[in-house]
Amino acid sequence: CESILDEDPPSSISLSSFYQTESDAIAGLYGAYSLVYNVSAGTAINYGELNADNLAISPIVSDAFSWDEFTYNSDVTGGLWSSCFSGINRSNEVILYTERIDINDGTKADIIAEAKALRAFYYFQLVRAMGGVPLYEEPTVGFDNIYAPRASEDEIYNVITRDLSNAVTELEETSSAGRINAYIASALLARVYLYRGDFQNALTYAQKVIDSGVYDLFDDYAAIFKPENDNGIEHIWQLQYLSGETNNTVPGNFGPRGIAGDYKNSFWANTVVGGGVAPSAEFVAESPQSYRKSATVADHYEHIDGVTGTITMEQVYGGAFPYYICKYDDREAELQSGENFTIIRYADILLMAAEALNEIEPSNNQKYTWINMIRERARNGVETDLPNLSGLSQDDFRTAVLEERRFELAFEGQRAWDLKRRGLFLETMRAQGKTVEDYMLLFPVPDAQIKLNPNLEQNTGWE
Amino acid sequence: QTKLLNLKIERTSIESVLKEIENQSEFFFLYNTQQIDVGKKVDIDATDKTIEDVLETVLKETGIHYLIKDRQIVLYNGDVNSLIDAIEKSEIIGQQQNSVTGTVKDNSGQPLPGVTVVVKGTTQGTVTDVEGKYSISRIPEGATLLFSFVGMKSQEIAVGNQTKIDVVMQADAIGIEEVVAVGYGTMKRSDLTGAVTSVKGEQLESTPANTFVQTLQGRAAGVDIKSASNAPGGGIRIRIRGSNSINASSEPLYVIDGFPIDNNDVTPDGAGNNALPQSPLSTLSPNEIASVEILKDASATAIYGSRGANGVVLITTKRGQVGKSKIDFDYSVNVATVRKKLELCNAEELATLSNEWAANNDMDPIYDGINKPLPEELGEGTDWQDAIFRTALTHRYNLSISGGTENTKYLVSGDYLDQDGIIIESNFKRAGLRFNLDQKVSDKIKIGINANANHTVNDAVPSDGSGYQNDSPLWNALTTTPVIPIKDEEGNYVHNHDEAFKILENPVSIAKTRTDITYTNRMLGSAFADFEIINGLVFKANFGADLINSKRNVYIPNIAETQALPNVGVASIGSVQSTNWLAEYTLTYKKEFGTAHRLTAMAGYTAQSTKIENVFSRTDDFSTNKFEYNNLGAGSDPRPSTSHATEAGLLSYIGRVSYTYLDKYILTGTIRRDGSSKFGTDNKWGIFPSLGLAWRMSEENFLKGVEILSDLKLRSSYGVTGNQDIGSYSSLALYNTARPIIGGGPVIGFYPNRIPNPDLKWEKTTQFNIGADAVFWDGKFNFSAEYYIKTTNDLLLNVTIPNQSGYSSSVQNIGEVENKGLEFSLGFNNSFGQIGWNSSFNISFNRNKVISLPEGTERLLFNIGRGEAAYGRSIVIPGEPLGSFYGYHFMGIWQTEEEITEAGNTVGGKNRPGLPRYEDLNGDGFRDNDDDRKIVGDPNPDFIYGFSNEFTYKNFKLLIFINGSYGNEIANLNRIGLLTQPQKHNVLKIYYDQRWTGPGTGNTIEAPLHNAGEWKNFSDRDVEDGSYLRVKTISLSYNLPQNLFGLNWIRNAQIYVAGENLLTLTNYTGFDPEVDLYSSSNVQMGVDNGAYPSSKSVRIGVKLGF
Repeated sequence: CESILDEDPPSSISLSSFYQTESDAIAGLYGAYSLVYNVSAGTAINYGELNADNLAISPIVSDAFSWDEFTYNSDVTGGLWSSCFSGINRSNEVILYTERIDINDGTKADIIAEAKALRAFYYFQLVRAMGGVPLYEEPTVGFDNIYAPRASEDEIYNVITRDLSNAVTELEETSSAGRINAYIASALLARVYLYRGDFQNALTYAQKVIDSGVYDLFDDYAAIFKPENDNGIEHIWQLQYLSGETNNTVPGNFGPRGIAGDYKNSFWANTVVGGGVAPSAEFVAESPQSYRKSATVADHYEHIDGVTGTITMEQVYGGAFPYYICKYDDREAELQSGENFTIIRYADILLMAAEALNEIEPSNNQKYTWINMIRERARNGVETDLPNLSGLSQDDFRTAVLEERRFELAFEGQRAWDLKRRGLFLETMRAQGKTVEDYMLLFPVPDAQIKLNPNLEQNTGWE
Repeated sequence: QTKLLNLKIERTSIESVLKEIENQSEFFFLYNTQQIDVGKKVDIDATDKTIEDVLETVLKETGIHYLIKDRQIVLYNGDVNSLIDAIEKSEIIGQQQNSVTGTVKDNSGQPLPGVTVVVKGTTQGTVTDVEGKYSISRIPEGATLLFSFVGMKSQEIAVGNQTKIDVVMQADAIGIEEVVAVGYGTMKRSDLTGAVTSVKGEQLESTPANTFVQTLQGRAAGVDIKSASNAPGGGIRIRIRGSNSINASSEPLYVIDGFPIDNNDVTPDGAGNNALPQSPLSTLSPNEIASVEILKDASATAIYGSRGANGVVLITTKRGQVGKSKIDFDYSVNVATVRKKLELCNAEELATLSNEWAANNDMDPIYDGINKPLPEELGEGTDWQDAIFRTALTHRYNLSISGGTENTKYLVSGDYLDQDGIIIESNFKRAGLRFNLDQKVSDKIKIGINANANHTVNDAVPSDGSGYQNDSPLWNALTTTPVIPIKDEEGNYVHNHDEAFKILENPVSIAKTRTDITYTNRMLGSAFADFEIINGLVFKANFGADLINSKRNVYIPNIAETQALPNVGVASIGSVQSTNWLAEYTLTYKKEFGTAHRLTAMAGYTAQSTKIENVFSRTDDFSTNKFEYNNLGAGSDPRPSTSHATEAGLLSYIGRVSYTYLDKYILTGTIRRDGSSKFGTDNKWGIFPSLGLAWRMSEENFLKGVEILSDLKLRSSYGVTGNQDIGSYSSLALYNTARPIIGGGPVIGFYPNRIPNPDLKWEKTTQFNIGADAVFWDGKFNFSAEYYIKTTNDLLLNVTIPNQSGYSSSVQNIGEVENKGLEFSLGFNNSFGQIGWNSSFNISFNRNKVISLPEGTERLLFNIGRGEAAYGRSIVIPGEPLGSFYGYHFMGIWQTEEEITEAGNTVGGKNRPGLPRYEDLNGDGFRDNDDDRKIVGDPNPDFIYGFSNEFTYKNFKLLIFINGSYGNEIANLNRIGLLTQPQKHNVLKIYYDQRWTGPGTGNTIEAPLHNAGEWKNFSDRDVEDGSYLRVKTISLSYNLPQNLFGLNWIRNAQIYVAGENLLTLTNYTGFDPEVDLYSSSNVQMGVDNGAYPSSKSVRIGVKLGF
């Protein structure tokens, strides 16, 4: 009768019955992927855009000021910290336990390489925000090793570059949408090296993507952000959404919210409200006149029911700042958008390659080819807008490529990081009148975590 | 001996003649039946003859000689040796003279069947028959007969030379002879060492309630009961001697006829926002209960081991008794109305506030006389409370047939309840059938069965919570603007839905058009066999099962108008199946050694297992409302179906020894070893011991002389019990499911939810109890007092761990909570002429305190409330009681801008003249964060009490039952929602009366002024005194005289009228002070948030017995 004391949950899996087959390993991997949602999309916007010069809190919202105004406290990174470490632990499980499964070696190596690349992605989110963090390469199985101190920034980056470069060689060239393949690993690695100032490697891995011939730019800038073009030729890695199942909140937060999906007949149906964030006045003013600008910000929109006609943002915001971000304008399903969020796209790779090449070999004109591909598309045939660049000094090109990134990749979660890695963050933000202390280049380690783990040290200035 | 005898008998045996002589005289005969033949038939016709004359006549020609000595007459056969032989053996062969017959009746003259009659100090005895008659023979010289019966005072009568002893048994006011259930057996109350409160079924029946547990309210010291919802079938909250836990349940264990039930909520899921879960105990009818024993201290509860820490409620249902078949029929009808309505603004007042809001926010008037009428044109408007409350009828029927013989006892009963709630469209029905049987198979073997089948139908309306995502008839009736009518001219429901208004679905429409019905079938049955192996040693096997099937059907039609739901038609079906089986084997040994020692020992083994399975299916988007929930396939947006199953098992070894010396010194030791599947692999088994001692001082010689003192007992106990009421699998690392989108569609991913904790174990409660029971003047007055101190450690807590582990928390055994308290019970029972007065009073004081939390956890914060006003907080922090309210300190209304800046704030946002001023605790200005929150209230009562008075006069009986609570505070979250946003929804009348309209105009209620998050500021302004004194029941009953209609086949007939909740003294401004949104939480208490309100009612009933 003692058997009734043994627990074998009928509707759950425990470790003893998991990691037996390849599909178990894949399910574990999907479990690890599920946290990418927590660290991309809205989180990427907060860290990369709201915390920088392009994006501001919309006039109708009263929360989230802290991201815009640098008034956050030392627990602001709590969500990123826990999501990344959960992702890391889940990846570590896949890495460790897949090794024990009796399957084809190639498959096994692929799954492990993919899990390591995913782990690298999570570590990258942490290290660029907070510097060195505790390093875990094995899953947590007991309570013994949960109080590790921070590793150095270099140690973390070494693991990231090691695992991503392994993924570049190990993984297949294609993957089902949303999963990391060799080119995604390459693209991420190029980004990592760019942050490290290792321009040679950044160029090498960007070049791998370019030379693959797999990717290209969309002809139409606006097409990049249409839900129907998800996982298109330019999208190297997109976070996947499906309307009604897993909704992307970014379009709803950027755009005017309107009627959609299940909200027909509901309160929202008759309500017009602005998004939670809006382009900053500086962005609207400084963004060069172009088709790209018009596909990025707008001051009016068509009411979706076709009755009311045009609604201006001036009306929506009651006379306040009259622009919204129309880039992710998923008007058919705003509150339940299925539009993917782009983590990295080909235009970014081209600009990275141009930037890196300018650092290594300023005289190589290939950099103009790459940057002008971007500008040409952005002007959309209007020759007076965004003319091709040529004959710039290394410094001027450096400035030009950063400017290009600002407007090409606007509101995609890159801006603050670009400013930080270029050392322009503080002056740019101060120029906008924001009170930013020097130490705010790094985010704080969550205070609550320091209380729980006395071995953690806080970043300078946040103590 | 000079008495003369008169005998006229023909053809009768000598034996009969001798017997007749014995009856007529004091003589008795001694003879040896082997030598003397008394079968011979004789004739005798004697008038006024001496004994000698009679004997000469009878014995002539028989050869029988006689010798008269004193009153003894020895018969012998002429042989002197046989005479000597006869004299020598006369002690044992003494014939009929040593037998006693008689009749036992109660004090009303009714014969009492089933009374035990034993020769004291022996096992020799019998039981009275249907007519109360008994006969007992071969009684030794100098014997004493002991008459005992449950609920009656035992009597001892010295036989002497009596041959006929008639006895009138008196009700046992003292109760010390009462036999009480103690878990795996029964015990005489006088032998108890633990704290056990007994409540009789009749007491429970006098107070109508949804579930029998509510009828216990105020009846037992130390038992705190509150309604979580006054909806028919709604949940209740019960705590015995306080809450012991933070995360695990603090509900007591319920044991019904020896079957420990699993009282977890088995209400299936429903789509949308729904009624609170129904109480699992609502499937049991209070009419079926014979008695309830509440085990409170460790001596009493340790026998239930890892389930004993929260106290144990033993429920004994009615069984057949020896006697003629009895038919009992009860019927009652109850008429209920809402106890109180809230005072809200009328249409004119609200419109005035709306306009004022617009003016304060620089907007044009809303009620401007153009688009909308001017306020003064609106008048009273709609009273939405009147639209949803109704006068509700409840019918109860109960029919039972019971009876039995010495060998077979049975009871069959059926009951039916049809209860309308006081909110329209809410209804609860229960139909139950019960059968039990006790059968003596032989002198050694007894078997029995209990079967209890119930069917309930809970047709509920959404209740509890407030506003956004929690639309309910009640909340929407409070908040819907009185400006609009219930229906428009075309008969369509009008919703609170204008531009300037918040959308609120019409409360009548919610009640009438939504469906939420839960059907529950419950079968609780058990069978047992007793086998007396040798004298005093009984083996008992008991097997049982508690099977619950519940199905919940929900439909929200596509005409619904809410902010939260997709208003396209939502249908769902949820189902829960719970299977709980029990096997139990016990061996009980009862023995008296001489007259000084009495021993009862019990050992046993039990196994119990529970499995709960859930299924839930939901489909959205129906083009027609025709199908409701009956055709999920007809909706165009099916949601993924879900299912879930959990299992739990418990194996136990139990033992108890109770030893009584000289009826004075009593010792009880219990031990239970429990193995639970819920514990970690390294801690599967726990041991729970207890020791209790009692000293019946009144049996000591030095107190024997104290006439007024009938009984005095001191008791003390110490022991350890456990709480294993955590979810199954808490010690394991399980994989949760994630559904990321990969390759265009959702895929299933698994991820570990926690670090496994193989050390996980029960929460451990150590309890010390000391008590005294005293009875004075033969039971006219009695008194009990208890003091206890309970500490619970190894609390099952979600301990926050560093997130770098990949996990945020882990379930560990850390932390400590203490409860200590005093309980007093007083009883008074006397007659003044024809007026009988029976009174009982109990009061209990419990002090709850958190002693420690895990290292690194300063405090735990919990949200209280649901929906719109769900921004209250409670806190768990060492040194304070569980569930303390945590919020801002309200300091009045900001009068001027200067005041704001002087206090260190910038003017704007929440800090503007006319808005509430909250205390800035940390000196950085008032901010919306925890640094400016403090403890603002305590939901735990200082004391609770119950006071019952029963007066009898001739055939009338008047019962007045009062109960109450003092010193507990209530978080009135309704008030938060009803003091904000008058431009969107209705508000309390005091808003209109007391609002700030300029400096110096008011300091209690803010101006109507836009203020982001205004409903989020939970402060001490929203915490109210929840003390109350309530006349819970006043009931008058009249027993019709038996001979009234000459219908002597009617055993009894009673009519009664009872009033419920007719008078409540309280300062609480909400619907009712007896409220608790969270029935099961230990850390969220005393919360009023859209709770289904209580009612007052009048009940008329009739009881007939045949």
